[in-house]
Amino acid sequence: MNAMRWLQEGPGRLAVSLQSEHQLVGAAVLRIGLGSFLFLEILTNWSQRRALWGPKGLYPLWLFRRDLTSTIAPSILAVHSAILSDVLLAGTAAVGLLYLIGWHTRLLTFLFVIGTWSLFNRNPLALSGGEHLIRVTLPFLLLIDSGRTLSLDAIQNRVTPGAWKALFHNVGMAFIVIQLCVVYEAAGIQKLGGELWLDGSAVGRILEVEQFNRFGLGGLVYHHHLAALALTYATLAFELSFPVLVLTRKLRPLALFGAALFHVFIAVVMGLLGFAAIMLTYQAAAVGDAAYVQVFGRMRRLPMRLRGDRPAVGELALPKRIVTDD
Amino acid sequence: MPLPPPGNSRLFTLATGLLFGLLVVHFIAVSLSVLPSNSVSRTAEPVSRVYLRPFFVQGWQLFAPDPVSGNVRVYVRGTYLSGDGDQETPWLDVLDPAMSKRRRIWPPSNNLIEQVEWEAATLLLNDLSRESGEAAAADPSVITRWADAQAKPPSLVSLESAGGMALRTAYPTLDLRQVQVGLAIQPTSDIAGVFVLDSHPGAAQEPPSGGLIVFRPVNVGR
Repeated sequence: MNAMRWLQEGPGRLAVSLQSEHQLVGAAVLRIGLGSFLFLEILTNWSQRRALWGPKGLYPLWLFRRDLTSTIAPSILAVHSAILSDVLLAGTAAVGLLYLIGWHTRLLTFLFVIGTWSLFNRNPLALSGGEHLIRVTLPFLLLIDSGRTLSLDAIQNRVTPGAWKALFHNVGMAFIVIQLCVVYEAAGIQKLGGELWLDGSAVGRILEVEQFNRFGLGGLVYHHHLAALALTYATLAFELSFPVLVLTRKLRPLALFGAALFHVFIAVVMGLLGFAAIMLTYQAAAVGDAAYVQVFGRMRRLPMRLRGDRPAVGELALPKRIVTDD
Repeated sequence: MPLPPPGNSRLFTLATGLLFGLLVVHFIAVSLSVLPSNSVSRTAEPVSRVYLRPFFVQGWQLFAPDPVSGNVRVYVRGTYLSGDGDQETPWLDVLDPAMSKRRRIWPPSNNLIEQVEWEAATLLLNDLSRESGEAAAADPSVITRWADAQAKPPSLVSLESAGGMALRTAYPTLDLRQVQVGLAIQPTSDIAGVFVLDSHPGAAQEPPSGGLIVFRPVNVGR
């Protein structure tokens, strides 16, 4: 009986629920993180730009054109002139900055997607796991309303809610969060086919490789077999359980805590700072608005608590633009 | 708080259903491409490949199934013109940490050029394993086939470019004509015994006496 009722009423209820936008703060954090990434990626590599993305660089233009028929991945940065390539790169960095601050977000999202797609495809060898995640979620960024809060658009009142906009936003965020789950689940399942992961030695072996032991901290793990064993199985447990943890509201804090530990370890010990930053940005996008409002509220109350004051009526009001029912 | 319902709520419900249907179909295609190969994924592969390319191509091996368990080494040497005819430089270790110092790349611990070189070297080893069956004993016919620029894997092209740049940095006054790439993998347990890294930036590193896979020289400045 209940199942019949659900079948009759479920789609309608879902449609009503989707008329309000969820995860607006998460979408804004994703915009800020990805805008920062694009801007900093070009800025910090500016002195090496011609080697990385230039017509005679590590992925020369003739190679890009030779493989274009099989990659089907064009790039606005694939130009003959090194100077034009510089100008387009500078423009792409500026797009990253404007997207980050949330200025005319709809238009800038479109330009951000084109710019990031072009940068990634101009030299596919420069991509790590984090950049691959950005690459496959680019189309979904066009659906989400990332400028509703924490943006210049929000400050200047250029944001307009609407039911259709909300529908596309919610579906776009669902695509992004599920894609994040796919990354961990696929990585976990693939590891189950590896002998070193099953015998507990994989993390130790990885940290013995110079490329992943840049700060010399790997010895703390591979010299201690118990630590290597624990970290190998912890990695498997985390990756395989991530989708269930993050998609279950009550267990979500556990997923985020695990992800934070996992990626901070990768950043500090393995030196993969960019990968860790990108993955943590996507984790932040999976957090609901209610959790953000709670955290913002606590942060606002902290100075009062430190002073020993009691909050006045009205000081605990939640930001009006953020929906808290997810 | 929900917003006022849109004018045509039936259309809205239909759009909701369609979008969620798309979401389900999308992630079925994605799952089939990321999970280990099975009979269903092999049957669906032609369709899912068309759908996923180019925007949604996946690849989340991330140290799986087995992580790389050795240090990949990329060596380059150049041919240059001198008074006595063509001469060869010593082999240079492209991924030697001393090279990064010489190139003054910041931050030296995590720079993108080194990441590209390392990625290219790892991919090249994979390409060799696939073509030759075993990378450590590269099939000479594969090396010959890859001498043709049209058949060369992107990873090798990239290492030749990286090698040219490294040689010009190490020997700025030489008139370089050709670049040759060599590739080796050292098991991690042998590191301390085989290599003692020279502290002089850019100093030539002797490659291992055996196990160096040498590719055909290529003219510089293409």
